[in-house]
Amino acid sequence: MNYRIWYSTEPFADFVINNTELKNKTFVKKKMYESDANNAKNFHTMPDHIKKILYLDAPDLIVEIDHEPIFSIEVSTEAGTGHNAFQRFARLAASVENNVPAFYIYPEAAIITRKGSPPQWDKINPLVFKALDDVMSIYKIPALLYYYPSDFRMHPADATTSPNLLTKGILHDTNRNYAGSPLGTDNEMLRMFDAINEIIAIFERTGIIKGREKLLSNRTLIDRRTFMNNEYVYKGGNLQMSPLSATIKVKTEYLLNYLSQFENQNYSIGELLRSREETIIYKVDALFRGDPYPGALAAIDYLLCREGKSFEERKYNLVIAWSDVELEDNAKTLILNGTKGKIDDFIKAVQASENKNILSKNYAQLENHEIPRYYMQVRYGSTYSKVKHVRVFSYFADAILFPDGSLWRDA
Amino acid sequence: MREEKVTINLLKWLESQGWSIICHDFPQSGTGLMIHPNSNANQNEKNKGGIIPDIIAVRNSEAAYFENKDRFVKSDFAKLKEIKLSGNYSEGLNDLLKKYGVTKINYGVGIPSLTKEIDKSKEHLDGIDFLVSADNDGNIIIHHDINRIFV
Repeated sequence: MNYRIWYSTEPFADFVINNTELKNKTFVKKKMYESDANNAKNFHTMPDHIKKILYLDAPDLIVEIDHEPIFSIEVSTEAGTGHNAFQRFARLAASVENNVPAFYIYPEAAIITRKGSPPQWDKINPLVFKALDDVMSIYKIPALLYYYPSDFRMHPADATTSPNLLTKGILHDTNRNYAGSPLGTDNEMLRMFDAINEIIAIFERTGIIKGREKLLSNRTLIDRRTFMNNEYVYKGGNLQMSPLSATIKVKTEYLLNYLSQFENQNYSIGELLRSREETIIYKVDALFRGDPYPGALAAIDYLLCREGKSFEERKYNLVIAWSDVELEDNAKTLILNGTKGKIDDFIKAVQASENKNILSKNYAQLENHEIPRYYMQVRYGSTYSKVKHVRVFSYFADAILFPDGSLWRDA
Repeated sequence: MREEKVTINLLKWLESQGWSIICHDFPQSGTGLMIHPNSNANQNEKNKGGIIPDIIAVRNSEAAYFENKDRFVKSDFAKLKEIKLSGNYSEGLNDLLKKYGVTKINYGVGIPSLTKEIDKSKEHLDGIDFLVSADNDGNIIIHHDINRIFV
């Protein structure tokens, strides 16, 4: 079997290869180019099945056997309080939406020093465990979190006693060939290597299709899922935590009445929104922007809305409102009284992405090296050339509301 | 050669020469340490945000501050000159280095050992203290070291 290992940084690829059974396989390493938006020169060279994973967001590593991705890894060293734990969630979604198992390496806590305060541990939002478990229930594919090694458990009460203040209490591998990678001798990483080896063995033994069906009944992976569920409970996880604390559930009638301002004799809102009795609204009273909101929106989908693998299979509509939202019960409608969110900011982000497209060029204007990119855009339009947050918002949200304008799906 | 490889080869070389690594960073590594501008810094486009050094290493009383790239990038030379001459990050850098007894910070650039890139870099040495390059085998060449810190 031939393995290909797609990486964002080569040292991390080497770290994973040399600590797992991959080192005994026949493999090639390949640099991964994340999107047409941020790497117009190279993205079109990525294989089509990898492009599909990269559509939402790019994990740090994708491993494939004979052109079939078998797992991805996303790594973060950020402090995971509030929305932040979900910042990379779209990268996990990108993987599992394509039936590819996902590993998430994230610190249990990281030291943050704020102005005027002593250093303190910012701990992971345990709701991320529930979101990952819901992902596993929906996709029947592993989405497992392993703690990025830190000395949090050695110095839990007082971050100032950590000998690793400079690295936020985070423990990196000391082998310079793996610079920027987690400490490979840490128990959490050893458990992750075990899980990776199990996944490799299952796929090699039973093939890709049957292998996917068997993964969640593997004892090593069951044990990890149990650990994650225990962490959710032990750390006091509940459904009132961020980002769910920024959501409201409303009768869809309120949303439809709000959107009726866009209806006229020639147009009425389509069937998709009407098909669900209730709607989840994620309220973001902020200037339109990306992180951490795209990942948080994806997590809300899995935590509250999804019932199946497609975003069409939702119990509730999923709407993001760039405003605070109040209910007007007499008229059964919504009031968006925010002042920061502007529809034009969304439109400008789309237009800026569109300017990178080359479809309006004449053939004579195309440089030779641009022709494959042109041909990719002929097939996919601006699918891969929009900026990430626009891609993620428009993938997950059934409607996007601004105080001065709205966007919605009809079907 | 990618920037990450330049940085890793320099890290190995520095450690082999007795330098201690204080921090390092390369794209998507997540290891960077942000140095914030001084509270009274003259805020302009160049220093309105923090800076993340690619390497800071110390040996004896000297510190070496590296900006690394996979090619010659003129703006890096201007950035280092600005950091060095303006002193706009002195509080954060001094705070970081105070326990190492550092008396002088040297600012320089690391690039791949490619003749074309080195030649272009050599035309912009006036604002920096050193220029070093790395090849794929980990060999390091010192092209410019005004304070002889790598001797």
